[in-house]
Amino acid sequence: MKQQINELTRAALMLAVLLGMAWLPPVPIGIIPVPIVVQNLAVMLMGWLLPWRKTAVVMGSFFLLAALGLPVLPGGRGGLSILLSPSGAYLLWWLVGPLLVSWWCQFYGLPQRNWQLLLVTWLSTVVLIDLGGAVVLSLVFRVPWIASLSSSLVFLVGDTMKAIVATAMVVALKRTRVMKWT
Amino acid sequence: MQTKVLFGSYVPISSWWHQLNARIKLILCLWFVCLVFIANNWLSNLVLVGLLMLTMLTTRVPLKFYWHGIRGLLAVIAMTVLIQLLFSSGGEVYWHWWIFTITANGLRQCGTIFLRFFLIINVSTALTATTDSLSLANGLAALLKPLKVLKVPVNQITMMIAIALRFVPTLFNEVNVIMNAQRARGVRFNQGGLVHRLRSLVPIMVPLLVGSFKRADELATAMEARGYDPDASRSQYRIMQWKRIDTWLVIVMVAITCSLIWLRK
Repeated sequence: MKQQINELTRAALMLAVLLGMAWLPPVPIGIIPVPIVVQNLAVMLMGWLLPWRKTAVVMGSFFLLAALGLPVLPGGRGGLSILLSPSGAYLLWWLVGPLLVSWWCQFYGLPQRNWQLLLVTWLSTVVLIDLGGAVVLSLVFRVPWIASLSSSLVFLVGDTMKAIVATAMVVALKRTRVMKWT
Repeated sequence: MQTKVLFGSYVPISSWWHQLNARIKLILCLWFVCLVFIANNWLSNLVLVGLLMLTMLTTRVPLKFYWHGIRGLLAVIAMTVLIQLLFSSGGEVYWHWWIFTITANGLRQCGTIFLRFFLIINVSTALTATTDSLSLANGLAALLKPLKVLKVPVNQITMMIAIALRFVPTLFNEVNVIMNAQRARGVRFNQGGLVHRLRSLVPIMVPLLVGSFKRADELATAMEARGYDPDASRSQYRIMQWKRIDTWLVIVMVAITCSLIWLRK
């Protein structure tokens, strides 16, 4: 039962980190008008730090709080209207991405090679979220494929950089005692 | 200061909306959102606008808060309206180039989308302005109870949200402490190019996560020492009661729902 409570409190603290990161200012890029949002860095990390059931509960709770209108989405926004807008096309996959990472970690263990860490993170939380968002954008909002894929490619560069940073964080965390619990 | 910002969407004014318990407000808010998607002509939308105006006025929250809620989402609204305008079909074509088309149907849908955004954003602002975060979490817990039938761990979700909301201010303070400590050792935040800025997140995030997980482990030990069992049912210190005003509000919403269904084409 101690481990059960431990998982619960870790999931709660991870949710608190996710909520708090909504308020970190986005990093502006000189060329592109879309700033890079830092919050999904926590989404990338979550899969490696929590078991998959707790990951699902954390992301589900996060979306519940966002739907209620609490200011927990990037830029301190919230509300059902965002989840129903084109931004929701990408946010939808925030539910799925960390789950895939958690499943990988649970069934195959923590990868030994750093490039494996990066590859799993990149495929689950960058490629899936950006391309998945493009798919929903096309099917639900009837945006032509050219436009939706173009807008996703804009995010792809920044998200890839975030995946590299997230991998560096996981590597650093591996050297601490917190990861041995996983 | 940052602590105040996160929970700053709550406006501590005394009105009867503020005194309602969160559960009924959540039910009414979600109900209203469903009505927004039921309304499909100008008369039914007019009823919804009137209902929203009445609610906004009786909350006694200054109008600038509602404007602030809309302003933060102007980019989202503009993007959605623009997508609808340029990629729609049906009706008379006014303009066409490459993959873009502006049609009469598109213009009409833009109006509908903008109105729906207006209605949903403002009712959401009314909810968060009159209810503090912990009350919202309690109301959410009450509404999630039926999910126990589906084996969803409602007790644990409720506890997790309560813990998370409690620790957000603590984590903000910790981030400030960590950033100041790293500055004292030479790290420059908010300088340099994109790669440097992203890389400077590592000395913030890694100590924050390690500290969070240590705090989580200590909290788990303390909770266990006080007899907490995740699977057992527990009593509640915070209790919400159903009152006569709640019944009247439900009756009003039922009447409005019937009116809208009757007004539909």
